[in-house]
Formats: sequence, C-alpha cells, structure tokens
Amino acid sequence: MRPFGFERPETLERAAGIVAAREDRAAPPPLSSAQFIAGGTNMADYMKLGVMRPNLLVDIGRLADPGLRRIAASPDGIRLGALVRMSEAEENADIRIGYPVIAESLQQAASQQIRNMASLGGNILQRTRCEYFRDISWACNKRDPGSGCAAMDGFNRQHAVLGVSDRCIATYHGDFAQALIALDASVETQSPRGGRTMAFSELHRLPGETPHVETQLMADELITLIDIPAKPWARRSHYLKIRDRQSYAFAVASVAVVLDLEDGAVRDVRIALGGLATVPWRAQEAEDELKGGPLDERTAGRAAEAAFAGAMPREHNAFKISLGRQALVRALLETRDMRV
Amino acid sequence: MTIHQKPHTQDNLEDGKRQFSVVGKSVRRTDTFEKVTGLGKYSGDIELPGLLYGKMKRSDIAHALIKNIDVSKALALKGVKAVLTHRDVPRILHYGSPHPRSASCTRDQYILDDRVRYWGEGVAAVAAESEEIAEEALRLIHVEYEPLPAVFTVADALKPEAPLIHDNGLDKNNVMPPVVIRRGDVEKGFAEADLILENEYVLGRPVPGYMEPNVCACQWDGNGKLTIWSSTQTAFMVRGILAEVLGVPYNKVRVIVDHMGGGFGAKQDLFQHEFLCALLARQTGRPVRMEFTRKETFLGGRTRHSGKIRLKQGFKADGTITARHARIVLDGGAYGSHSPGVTTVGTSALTSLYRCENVDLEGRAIYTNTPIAGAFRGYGVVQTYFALDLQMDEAAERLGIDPAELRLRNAVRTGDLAPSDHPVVGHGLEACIRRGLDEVDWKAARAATAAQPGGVKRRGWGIGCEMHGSSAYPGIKEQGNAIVKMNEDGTVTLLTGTAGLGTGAHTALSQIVAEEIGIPFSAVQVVTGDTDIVPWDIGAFASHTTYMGGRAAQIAAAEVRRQVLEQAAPLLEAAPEKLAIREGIIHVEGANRSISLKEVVSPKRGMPAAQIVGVGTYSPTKSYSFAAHFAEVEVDTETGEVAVLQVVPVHDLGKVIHPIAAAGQIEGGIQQGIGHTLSEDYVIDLTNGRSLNPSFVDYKMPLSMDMPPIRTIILEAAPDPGGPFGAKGVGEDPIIAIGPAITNAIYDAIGIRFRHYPITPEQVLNALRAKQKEAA
Ligand SMILES: Cc1cc2nc3c(=O)[nH]c(=O)nc-3n(C[C@H](O)[C@H](O)[C@H](O)COP(=O)(O)OP(=O)(O)OC[C@H]3O[C@@H](n4cnc5c(N)ncnc54)[C@H](O)[C@@H]3O)c2cc1C
Ligand code: SF4
Repeated sequence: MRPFGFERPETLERAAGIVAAREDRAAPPPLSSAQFIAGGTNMADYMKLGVMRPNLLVDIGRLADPGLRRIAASPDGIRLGALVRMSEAEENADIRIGYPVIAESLQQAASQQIRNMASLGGNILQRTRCEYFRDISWACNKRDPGSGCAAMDGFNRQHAVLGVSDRCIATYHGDFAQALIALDASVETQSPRGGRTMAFSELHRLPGETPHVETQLMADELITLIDIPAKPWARRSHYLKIRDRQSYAFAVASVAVVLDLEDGAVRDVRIALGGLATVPWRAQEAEDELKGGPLDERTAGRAAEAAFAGAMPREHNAFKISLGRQALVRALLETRDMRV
Repeated sequence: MTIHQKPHTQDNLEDGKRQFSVVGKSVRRTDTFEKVTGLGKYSGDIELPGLLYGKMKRSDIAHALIKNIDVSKALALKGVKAVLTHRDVPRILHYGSPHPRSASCTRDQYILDDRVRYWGEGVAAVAAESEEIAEEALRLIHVEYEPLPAVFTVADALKPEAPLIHDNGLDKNNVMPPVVIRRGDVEKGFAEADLILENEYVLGRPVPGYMEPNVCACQWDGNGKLTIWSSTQTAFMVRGILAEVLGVPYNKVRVIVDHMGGGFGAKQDLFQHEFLCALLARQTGRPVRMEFTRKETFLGGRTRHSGKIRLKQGFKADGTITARHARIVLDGGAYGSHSPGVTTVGTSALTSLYRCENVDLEGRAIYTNTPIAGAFRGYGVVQTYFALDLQMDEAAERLGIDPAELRLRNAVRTGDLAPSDHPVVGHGLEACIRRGLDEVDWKAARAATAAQPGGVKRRGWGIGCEMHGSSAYPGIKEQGNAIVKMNEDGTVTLLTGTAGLGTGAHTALSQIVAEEIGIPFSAVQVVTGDTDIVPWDIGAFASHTTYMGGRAAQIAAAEVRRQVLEQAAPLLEAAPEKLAIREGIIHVEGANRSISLKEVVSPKRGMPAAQIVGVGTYSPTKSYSFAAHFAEVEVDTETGEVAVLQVVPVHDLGKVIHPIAAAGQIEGGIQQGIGHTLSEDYVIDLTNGRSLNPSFVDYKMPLSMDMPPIRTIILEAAPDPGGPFGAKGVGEDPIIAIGPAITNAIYDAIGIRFRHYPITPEQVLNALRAKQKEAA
C-alpha cells in the first residue's frame, strides 16, 4: 500500500469541508485524491490492490452525529443512518418484520465478519468486483478513464447483461441496493453546499461514455440517511440470491421483490435485479407486465421475458439471461406464497 | 463426526491383539495451544534486526526472450538495497523439486533465465527497506522482451509447428517422457467383451489454495552460513538444492520450518523466491524476507494437472472387466516439476482398483506456456480415477447391475498386483464398500431417488472408490529417520525430520513413541523442523508421514525400551524379556515386582545417568489405503446449482493413531474435492496465457457454509505389516473418491452424465436444456 494522510474529523461539516478544500474537489468521487472511509472493507481492500490511490483518507467512522448510527422506525417509514452497520440492520426487529427484503439482502451479503464492520452508506457505494478493474495491470475505463476495457473480450462470466455500454460492462455487486430500489427509498446527502434528497433509483449512473462517474454525488458529498417510506405491503417482500457458494460470494443473479396482492391479483409490485446489471436495476417492464393481473407461473414467466428483453450478453455470461429469468420467476412465486 | 473403530480382523501383525493406551486416542495435539493463541511462529512471522523485504518482478508475457533489463532506476530509488536479474545469479540447471535425480522430476529450471516461459515467471528480484519501496522498485524495472510464439493448450503444444518450450526434450517436441504400461492382451480382452465403453474425460485446473502463502526469510552469519526459515514440506531437499546451487557445503545451510499453513503437495517444490531471497541476503549482508501475495501463489505456485483422458473398457455381461485402454494427456505447464511423477502414478493407478488383466495405458505430460503444474494431493490419481469411476457407473447402468455391486465384483483383493507391482494386503476396498452400503442403506436410498416425482429440485446418490499408496515407492526410494532420547527423569525427546504441514503428524508420532515405550503421551516432547538438529528426512508427501516417519519413530522407541529394560533387569532381578513397561512403570510379568522407569534412568549417587538413545531408520516399500465415498446431492434444475447434502466416507487406514486428526484429513479432503468437482477452476486466458482469476474472491473454494454433514467411518480392516501398529496413510486418499461420488450422484438425480470437472451451474443448466430439447 502507498503512504497516505489520515484525518478523523468529528463533525460532518468538517469532513465534507476537508474534501471541499482540495484542489481536485470537482473530480468524480472515485478519482478524487481525498476519500471518505467508513467501515473500510471496500476502501482498504482496494487501496491494497492499488485500485484506489488516495493521498488522504477522511475517516467518517467516528463522526459525532448520532443520527448517522440510528435506525428510526415510525409510521412514516424507516430511516437508516449511513453509519449503521450491515449486521445491525439485518438484526433489527422492525426491519425483519416490516421490510424482510432488507434483512434478507443483508444476511446473504459478504460474510459475518465483513457485515460487522461495513456501513450501509459504504455498502451502497461499494465499487464493482470486475476482475479486470481489481487488477491494475489490466486496461479498465472505470479505473483509468480511456484506457480500454479488458472485460469486453475477456472472461466475463460475472459481468452485466443489463445497462451495459461499449465502455464498461461491470456488474454492480451490492445486494442491499436492490432492496432499496424495490422499496422506493431515497437518500439524503450533505455537502458544504447544503443537503439534498434524491430517489435512490437516481443515485447510480449508467456507465455510458463515462464509467468512472458512478453516482450523482460530488467528491465532498456525504450520504447521511437512507429513507424508506412506509409501505404496509412491504411485509410481503423477499430477496432471492443465487451465488457460487453460500457465503463470501457476490450474486450471480439476484432479485428483490415487493408485492401488493389483493385477492390474488397484483395491485402493485416493485422488482429490482442484482448481479445482472451495471447499476441497481429496476425491472419496470416486468412490473408493468404483472400489474392488475394474477400472479402465476405463466404471468411470472412473461414478466421475466420482459425484464430481459434488452439484455446484451457477452461471450461467457449469456447464461445469466436464462438464470435471471428463472430467478425472477422463482422470486415472484416465493413472494406470492409468503405468509404475512 | 462419528468414528467406528473395529478391532483388527487380522492377526498377522505382531501387535494384532494388543491393548492400546495412547495410540487410537484423540489426545490433545502438540500444536493446538500455539495455534489457537497465535503464539506459533510461521516463517512470515520472522523478524530480524535490519530485515529487508524482497519482491519479485514477474513477466507480463508468456513466452519471450529477455533482450534487456534496465534496473538503474530501481537501484537509484531510496531504500533499495539490491536488484538481481538473470545476469547476477548462478546459472545452474536444477530440478526445482525435492527429489533430485529421481524419476519424479525434471531438471529444467534456472533461478532466473534470459527467457520466460509463462506469464508471471520471475525475471528480477529486489530487496528494500520496506515492502512498499520494493514494490515501487519493481515498477521501475524495465524489461525489454522479444516475444516468442506461445502455446496455451496441449493441442497447440503438440502441433508439429509448435514452438519448443524447452530444448532438453527427447524428440525435440514438448512431450515429456511417456509412461507406458501393458499387461495381458487388450485386443483379446475387447474381443471377449459384451459391452465396450469409450469416453473422453476433461479435467479442470484446481490449485491447492493453502492458507499460508509461500514465504521465506534468509540470514547469513559471519562464517558464511545461511539460515533459511521457509514454508516447505521438504526441508532437507531445500537444503540440498540450495547448497548445490549456492556452491556451499550442506552444513552451511540450515533450514528451519516451525509451523506451516498447509502445502497440499505443492510446497515440495523449490520456488524462485527461495533462491533469490538467499542471494539477496548474501549480497546485502542483511536478512531478507520474501512473501508471496495471494495472487503470486496462483501465478508462481503449482496447480493440479489439467488434461484429457480417453478411456475404453470392455465388460462381460456379469460385469467382469475384460480390457482397459487409456490415453492420458496432462498439461504440465511451463516447467516439468512433478509432471513425470504425476503421470507415472496416475497412469499406473489404472492398473488396479478394479481388477483387469488386460491393460494398455499410456500417459504423457506436455509442456505449455501456462503456470506450472506440480505435486498436489492425489498426485495424478484424482484425474485417472475420476475417469475410471465415472465409466464404472455408466457400465453398471448399461449392464443392468447396481453400481455398487459392479464395484464389489471387481474390487481389488488381497494378493492382487497393486499399481506399485506389490501384492495388495487385505480386502480393504471391499470392506469399505460393504460398510458404506449398510450405513447409507444404499438400496433404499437409490430406490427413493429413482421413485422421486418430477420437480424443481432433484436428489441423487452416488458412489466413488479409491486406493492410494502410503509412500512414493517405487518411484522414489524414501527414508524416514527418528531419534528418541531418554531423559534422566523418565521423559523422552523425539527428534523427527518430518514436516508439520498442519496435519497433526507430530502428535501422531509422539503417540507412537509413547505407546511403544509404555509411557504416557505427556512424557514425550517432539523436536522438529531444524535441519541442524533433527535427523534427515525426505519430506512430508505421498501420504507417508505417519506410515514412514511413524515407523522410524517406533523403531527408535523400541530401541530405547530395549536399553531401559536392560538396565532395569538387574534391579528387578529378572531377564529383560520378562519385563514390560506400562504407564512409565516397569513390571516383572507374572511377579509382583516393579520399579518406575524414572528410577531406572535417573542418576544415582556418584553415578551419572546412562545415555539412552534410539535411532530408527525406515525405508518403506508400499502399502495401500482404501476408501469408498457415498454422496447425496440435490440439483436445482432452475438454477443449475448442485448442493451436496451429505457424504459418508468409509476409509480403511489399517490402524488409526489419532482419530480426530485422521477424520480431519478426510473432511478436509472432501471439502477440497467438492471444490474440484463443482466450483474450482484456475482460468487461463487462452490468447495470451494470462491468469484470469488469481484471487480467493474469483477462484471459488467451498467454505464452511457450503459443507454438508459428513459421517466419517474409519475401518481398520487391512493393517499393514510395514506401518506403525499396522497404520497406513490417509493424507491424499479423501480427495480422490469424492469427485466421482458427486458426479455419479448428479447422474442419479437428473440423468445427465458429465464427464468433466468442475461441473458449474451454467453447464448444468445448458445440459438440462439440451436434454429437454432432445426429448421434445
Ligand atoms: C470478500 C467480500 C465479499 C463481499 N460480498 C458482498 C456481497 O455478497 N454483497 C454485498 O452487498 N457486499 C459484499 N461485499 C462488500 C461489502 O458489503 C462492502 O465492502 C461494504 O458494505 C462497504 O462498507 P464500508 O463501510 O466498509 O465501506 P468503505 O470501504 O469504508 O467505503 C466504501 C466506499 O463508500 C464511500 N463511502 C462510505 N461511506 C460513505 C458515506 N456515508 N458517504 C459518502 N461516501 C461514503 C467510501 O469513500 C468508499 O468509496 C463483500 C466484500 C468483500 C470484501
Ligand atoms: S467492465 Fe468496466 S470495470 Fe471491468 S474492465 Fe471494463 S471498464 Fe473496467
């Protein structure tokens, strides 16, 4: 690892201010020379690999603001501080009962040790696990803009089939984000320019021409809160994850479903796909296919077709389309059959 | 874990009916406390005053001549103390492996060459004040390559126009010397067959994945003597090769191996860093430590041989095998390493397990510009028995015979010629199969899977068998040695050269010594891992540590007992043959007279204690352990996932010394075997030879959450007269039979025969889809 400076501010303002005072404050966050670090499970890993090379780390793990560490449930919904640990959230009773999709997405992520360290804010912003991105000797547009993409014609079994561009096909690998998409969550942020709120589904950006620009955030902007609106029907929600082994493995395909059923018919539904797309992916075409009708193997199958209509496979990941469809069908039927 | 120990069924052994007090008990391992408290010292823990950090520059091209290496910028970097390239190191061809001059290995490596033969081969080394500086220095080394045509598959390497990877080949091609075994008359055998099966089996490229990356630390003293702490299975071989290549006598190289975090066979080889670390330390006059990153353990480590096997067998309607014909082609990678040995052992294994008088077998290993394939638990037999046991299953179905029954009919038996050309001792395999059939209620289990209604998740049961030698004989003439010293308080010190990979072998050896002398386990201390102190040993491999090192320890202990009894005899006024030692007390058999061992050996007034030392030397021939594995799987037909639900491994070890340690070997082997079969494959880019998944995130080994319940059954059905108290090896056996058991269970579940490993979910899905299409 290369030498770097380390700051541990006590207030949010100061943390954001340190980054705002840097010359390259306008750089897209991943390329900024100053980086926030929370649990460090992603940042420290990528610094060791030389993927992240900040000169300065700003540790937000000890910020004094108690709201950052709170899980606050109310009739309006549930608010999760950005520094809440993954393991805290997955064990929280309000979440388990009211929003099972969140608990399930967290339980199946990473390993217990990592979940004990990792924060929810850091989880949302974790960077891709693309093998070529993680090994600095390969060409990678996301890591080194304009250098090319070794994955395009490489071993791309893990790569995305949805939301890809001709610059980058890296999968967004987090699990929690799919639950947030399916729950219509929003995020609150703070920077020296003040606070703002945005729909979670707008936080991440498609790779397009600029795969190194991953979110709408600025380098000096911190996520402070995740806001999940009350949704009585969120009790009928579920996360299905298919992976190569039972722990310590990212999704090959995953599905988050939140389902509102009335007399066997779908009144409303939210579907998000993981492990298959470059960003946390809302499968709106599939939702539209289902709304107002019955949910059975046939309609679920039709929804699955719709979800992958625009899929663009490469040499090694074509199986993800059929696997994704099967996973979606199964997740829908399992959610339908939940006893709530 | 459940362990079923059976009393010996044979009394051909001297100890056939004896009662054991230490052997056969799961005493607390000698290394437990240090491991769980973190006090145990591994080579990577070595801190020395003035320590420098070594790093290796690795090639980013698979096959090229080095035109020039410019190290001036690296040398100019502050904190860099030395840089070595091929111009600065002795140019001596060496075996790179522990058995110099044996048939197992090839002599085709230099420390650094002016040519690279695989992507990731070391081309230069740096010593610097910190790891970070050393890494920075690597970036400043500029290597100019002249690319050579390269081959990344066996098929390409065999083409007439293929580039020669080594110029020491026999016929000016990339083929290492073939192994040819012919017995009987296969033509006649096939002519007599009612059924002939011929299939091709494709083998993946798993890696050992030991926890402790390769690491060593080197220090030279003022007298020109080198001390090297290294994570190696073969300390004395490291000493020998290092001394020869460095040009110093053997007594000026001291190799220390304290604790080790695994090796699985791969750490029998000498790696480039071990030479380079010693040379960097010599040049700088300071101690140097070199440790691989996880990625380097993939690039510069050793893999299992991938390859293809074409297997053809003839069967009579009653299941008798009339002929066996096999062509085995293994990818050896860029250097020979253990290819000749692996080819020999894997090929000759096909002469046995299931009886067949007419065999025609040919095995070849081929050089390619890919990472080096070497020794790895199961040593060629994992590959060939995978093919053999899959075809047995297929034959059983075609002949309408139950697959377990077909194996029983053909199982190797007492007196049959083993692959080593020795007669087999005991019906070990038959005992394992029969015990397993009872345990899983095979008939009922298979009937249940056959009767299961259609559904998304389908279950199946499968069986796999194996036999494996407890030594490398006759390929290598091995030797184990032990010294047992009696201390004047009645305790003993055991000195053994066997390496402790983490298997618990040192505990087993101590048990054997305690048992043989007749003292409690706690009275034995074991000294290991220092070539200046312990007696010579060939190293820990070939499942022979307990078998060979244990027997040497037993012989040494017996000598100590003899001397003790000789001294006790006058004190007890009885002949030595009339005396017995139990729990440290010497009794006169049949009389009510005894004396403590301590009293006999402790100094008396005006009389020093006598020097009582026993030396044991043992050169084994061959013995075989046997196993049958039974596995139940569940295949998810929508996702292609295969879950192993349970495994029942039944092993015959002759005599179990430490049940928990033996069961640990079995469970660990099964875990590795599940990985081989379902998820592990080290992928090489076939356009340039570059590694594609050199990390534990991308190379997927099964973890604890993936492990099914395992009901281990250990039999003592066929004790070996050559082993300590009849014990045989267990190290490699468990990784062999599990693959076929799982693959055959998958067939039972979904009716698809896979003839390769690993069998990934996407392949299962594709195969299911193809089958559906066919049916439609
Ligand atoms: C082996 C392994 C397996 C894994 N498997 C999974 C898995 O299956 N599923 C899954 O979802 N995840 C998985 N993970 C990822 C893991 O969940 C993330 O590393 C973790 O959630 C990151 O949280 P952190 O607090 O440690 O983030 P950090 O490493 O501290 O930060 C990550 C990134 O977020 C930024 N950041 C952190 N907090 C904030 C904030 N409040 N505002 C603005 N920026 C911020 C940092 O600057 C950095 O860029 C795995 C990780 C490993 C190492
Ligand atoms: S897919 Fe994206 S992250 Fe991966 S190598 Fe290409 S550009 Fe980089």
